[in-house]
Amino acid sequence: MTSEHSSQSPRASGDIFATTHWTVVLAAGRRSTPQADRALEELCRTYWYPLYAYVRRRGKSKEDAEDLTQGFFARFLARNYLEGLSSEKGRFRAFLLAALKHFLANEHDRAGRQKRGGGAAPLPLDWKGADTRYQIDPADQLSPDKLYDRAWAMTLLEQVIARLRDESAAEGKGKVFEQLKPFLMAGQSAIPYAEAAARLGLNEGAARVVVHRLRKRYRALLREEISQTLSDPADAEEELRALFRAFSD
Amino acid sequence: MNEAGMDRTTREKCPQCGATLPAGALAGLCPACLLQQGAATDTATRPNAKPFVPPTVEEVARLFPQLEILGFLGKGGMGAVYKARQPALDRLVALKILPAQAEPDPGFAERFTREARALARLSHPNIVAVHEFGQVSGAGETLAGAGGAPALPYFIMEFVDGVNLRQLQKAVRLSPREALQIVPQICDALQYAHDEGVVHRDIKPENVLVDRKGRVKIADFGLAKILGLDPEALRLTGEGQVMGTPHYMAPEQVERPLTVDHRADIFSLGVVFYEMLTGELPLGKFQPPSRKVQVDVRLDDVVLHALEKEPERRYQQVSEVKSAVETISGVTHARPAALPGAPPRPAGVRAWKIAAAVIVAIVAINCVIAIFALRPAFSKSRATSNSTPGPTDAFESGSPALVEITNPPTVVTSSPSSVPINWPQAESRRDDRQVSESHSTSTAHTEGNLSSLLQFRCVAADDDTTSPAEELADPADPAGRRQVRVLRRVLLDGSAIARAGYDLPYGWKHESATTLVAEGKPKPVSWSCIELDLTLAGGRAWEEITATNLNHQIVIVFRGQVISLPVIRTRLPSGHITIKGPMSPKLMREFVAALNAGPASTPPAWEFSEPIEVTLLSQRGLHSGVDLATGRCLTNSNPEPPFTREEPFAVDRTMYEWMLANGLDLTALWGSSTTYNMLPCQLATSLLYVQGASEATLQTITTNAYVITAADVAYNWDLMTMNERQSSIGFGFLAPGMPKELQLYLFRTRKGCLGIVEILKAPANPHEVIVRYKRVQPSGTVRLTQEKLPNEHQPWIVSAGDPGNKASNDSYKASVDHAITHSGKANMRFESSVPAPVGYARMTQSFKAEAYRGKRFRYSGYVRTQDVMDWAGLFFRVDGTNGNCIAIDNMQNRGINGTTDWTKHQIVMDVPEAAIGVEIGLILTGGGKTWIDDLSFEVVGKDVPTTVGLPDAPSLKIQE
Repeated sequence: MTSEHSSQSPRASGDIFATTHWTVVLAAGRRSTPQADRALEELCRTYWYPLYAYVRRRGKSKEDAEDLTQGFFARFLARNYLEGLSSEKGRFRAFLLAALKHFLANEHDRAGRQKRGGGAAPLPLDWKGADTRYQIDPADQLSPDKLYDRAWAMTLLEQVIARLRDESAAEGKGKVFEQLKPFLMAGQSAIPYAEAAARLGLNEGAARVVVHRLRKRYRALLREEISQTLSDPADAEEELRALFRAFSD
Repeated sequence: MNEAGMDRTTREKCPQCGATLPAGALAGLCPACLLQQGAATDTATRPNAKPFVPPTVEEVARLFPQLEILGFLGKGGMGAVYKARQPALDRLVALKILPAQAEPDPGFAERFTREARALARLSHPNIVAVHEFGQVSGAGETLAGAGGAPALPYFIMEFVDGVNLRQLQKAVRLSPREALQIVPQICDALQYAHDEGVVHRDIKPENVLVDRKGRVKIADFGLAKILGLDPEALRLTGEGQVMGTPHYMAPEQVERPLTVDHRADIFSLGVVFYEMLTGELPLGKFQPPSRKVQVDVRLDDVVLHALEKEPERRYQQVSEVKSAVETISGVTHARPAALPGAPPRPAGVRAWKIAAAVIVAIVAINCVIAIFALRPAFSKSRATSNSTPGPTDAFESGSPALVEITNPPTVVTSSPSSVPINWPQAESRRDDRQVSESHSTSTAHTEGNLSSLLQFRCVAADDDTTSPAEELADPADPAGRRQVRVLRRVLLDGSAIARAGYDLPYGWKHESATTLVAEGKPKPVSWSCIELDLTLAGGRAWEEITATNLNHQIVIVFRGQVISLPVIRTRLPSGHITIKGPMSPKLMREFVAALNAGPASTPPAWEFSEPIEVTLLSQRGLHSGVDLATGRCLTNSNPEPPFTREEPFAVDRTMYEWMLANGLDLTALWGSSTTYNMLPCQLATSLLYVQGASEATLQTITTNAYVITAADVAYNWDLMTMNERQSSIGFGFLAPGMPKELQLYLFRTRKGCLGIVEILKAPANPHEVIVRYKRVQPSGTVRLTQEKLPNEHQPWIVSAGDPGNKASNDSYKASVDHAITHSGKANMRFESSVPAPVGYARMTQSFKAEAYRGKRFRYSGYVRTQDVMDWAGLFFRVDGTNGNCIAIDNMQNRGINGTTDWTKHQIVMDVPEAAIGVEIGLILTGGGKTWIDDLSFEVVGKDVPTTVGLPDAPSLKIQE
């Protein structure tokens, strides 16, 4: 389950704060530069599932949704939408959805569907997993937009958790991570440190520190991942709130 | 992949919020709580602070022997609330227990007493009354007003049998009208308190209670001050509402807490107001309410004025807010304080009932259907969501029995001074432009013309001249937007009846596909169909809109008015219905009823007694210069799978980039009937395949080319002839400067047959461009074949479309079958290898329409069929200026089915004045074979009004 994330192209963690993937892509515009291509593909590979979920929720069959999503990416990766859509440019999430809507709107005819993919190799996406995932997503009737945002948030969190897990594993603390993972969800005041300490075989003070560090690192990674999708990393808080709102109702 | 894990059906619940935890990579983690904690900051300031654990009912009972504790109502950021009874007075009260002070705070007791006394003095119908306060020690000794040992401060307050505004908003979207009834009551409460020198400091939806009679009661006055909570602490202590609370605070509360005065409440009220209207918080650069929802634009000023950052620039008194609101709502409410005998206000009653119903439904019955019965627009997702947070503050109604789930609340019969709250069906939310007009009747909106009432936003239909940015200005479509989406139903004939839903963010219904079973056929047909977003300016009832798709346009019928949109998506050839019109209501009902009843009951032909006309909307730009052209893109058939269809000019990267560099947008290639943005020197766009000329016996395939002129778009009958088998012809306009090798790419086919295109300037008109095709033999030598054929005789074009099945697209073929003779003239065979009715194909030929406009034609011929699965028939279609179908008959409701011998059929149809092209031919849907012969196309009537004095078109016979 986790390998699908850890196996995704490892992200160079050096210059993350200097530029975000999305900034690189935007800066390149319609030009194709190796760096921008990589950044765009990285983003698309990470966040394709929300698009698929959106298309499915819009009423498309599995096959159609796969087709449409793949077709969309073909066009998207060919930089078809990087002009226009100015109001959404700050956020990759909004931008991608706007572009997808535009794409779907133009997908009048099956003739078009046949012709999709011109000029770009398809992204290798895990379609098999996708529909399984869609099927097991909560079956309530979220609007497609909301479902999209939720799926987006989940994908983002999966990335973050996977990174956190990998980091912990690299430090030989894989088990500790699994033990402490639930504390990432709890309010600070609700963390049962005594219980954590008992589980870890530490005294309470030490457990407090460990939990604190994990939570801090989690927050940092979360912001970092979010920032990759923003043209201005300063918007991370707002994006975080927006993602949270997807779960609010 | 751990499949077993993914298939796990029993899910864990989040220990924090109770939501069902996702499976998959996040197993065991709750995304909402993760995000919430991700946004929070751990604070080291109060390391020893224990979370506030509300005392149990038993503990409270022990602490308050004078009260009968009836139950726990809820826990909020500032304490826990219990429902209790004072036996001596026999009255219900709410007991609020505040968290004990974690650290000894010598000033607390005094501050508490001082502030609590001020609160207890407040006596107003819109303020929750404080009966008693004090501090109680853990030992059970009440220490009213005393300081000292850690003690629990408490208030005994009026019990409000209702819900708070947050719960209300979660349960039902408040209409602007309801908001306009709630706000003045908040204003009354605040003005009174401000006059008494009390500032609330924490106005937020949780603190605005609405009782069963729709009365507003403000709770927790001044509590923030008593608790000495700074904004940061508020944010942190607000368990479960981390994202929320600070957003209601005035900027000065955060920046200069010491300077806060009553104007902070006005700001918070502005936030609450904004949220009630739009469903969103006014964060960052927010839009005025009227941009997001249909409300009176004058409300923008009120809300924005209350939300001014500088207190000096805000309303200075909350009573001013009230006056402004009431001026706009056109209602002057007597202050209830002044009129104790006033009839109960309806404000919020409806919403409250629904909210309560929902809460009950969630808690007790989970009865989704009941919710829908209550309000069609209601949020199913909300109703079924188990993650609905519990009450975040006190005063939740704990009594589910009070709600009538199955009975829709009746429309409140209101006193003349109040605005009735109606159900959506009867509701009249007016367009802003009509605001000054009468608003007292629910039918006010029938005045005004349709197009001003309907704001169309087609999700699946656009043309490429609209920039994506323009079109998607509001892509997220936040929940605040009143949006109507079409709930659709597709009929077998491809027409769709669509019902516009109301308030779609919640009520949107998705149909993964409409499965229809073809009449008498074993196999179901499955497709998705038109998608159309309608934003309805007036919040019209959903029964009022009917949409159908003709072949290339959507026609909306609304209250007897007809409006058509250019094509969205055509899944089937469909479109036999000719709507003209203004339709009478009676006619429209019949029309709708017939459509609803399905194809079986569809009468053989629609005959309207009234003159009917469909307006085309897509004239835009055609006369503004050489910037628009129309293309058709016909799909094609191919007899020899496997075949990977290629985009003739997208396959090659070089070509593609060249086009991009020259400003060509390939988006234009993606539509079947699309208006393209084109400059005279640019390359074009449209693509007309004629692939699958399959049979050796078929000698000629011809495509029609186009001429772009400055003023109009018309067909050009310059033709290209091809002899190769299985060749494909690309079709387009080329820029004069385009590199030669790219021209070749343009028309390369999979069999190696190359075609190139030449652009010629028309001698007569500098703006006219003539496109000429050159065919390249497989050997590579170029031979130009250009013939000019008369209008009367066109070769056949084969096209096929299939809504859902890829395989079938390659499975139609057409041929001339010389073995068949009927009368020795035209002999065509047309067959499909598809075993089920999954698509359609046509053999058609096209004419320039000039000579046919304004006349009635009979198109007739003999048809023979064999094993036709769905139907076969003659096909007669008229296109308008941008390729939109403006009239069509394809015999679909009298189509020929199964195996039949030669039978004569005919279509009589008028060619409208707007006609640009006429197409006649044969259609076959589903599998089978069809032959046609002895076609004729003749004028049968000149009584059709015409404004063009053209000679009669010749009666014509098709000669092979």
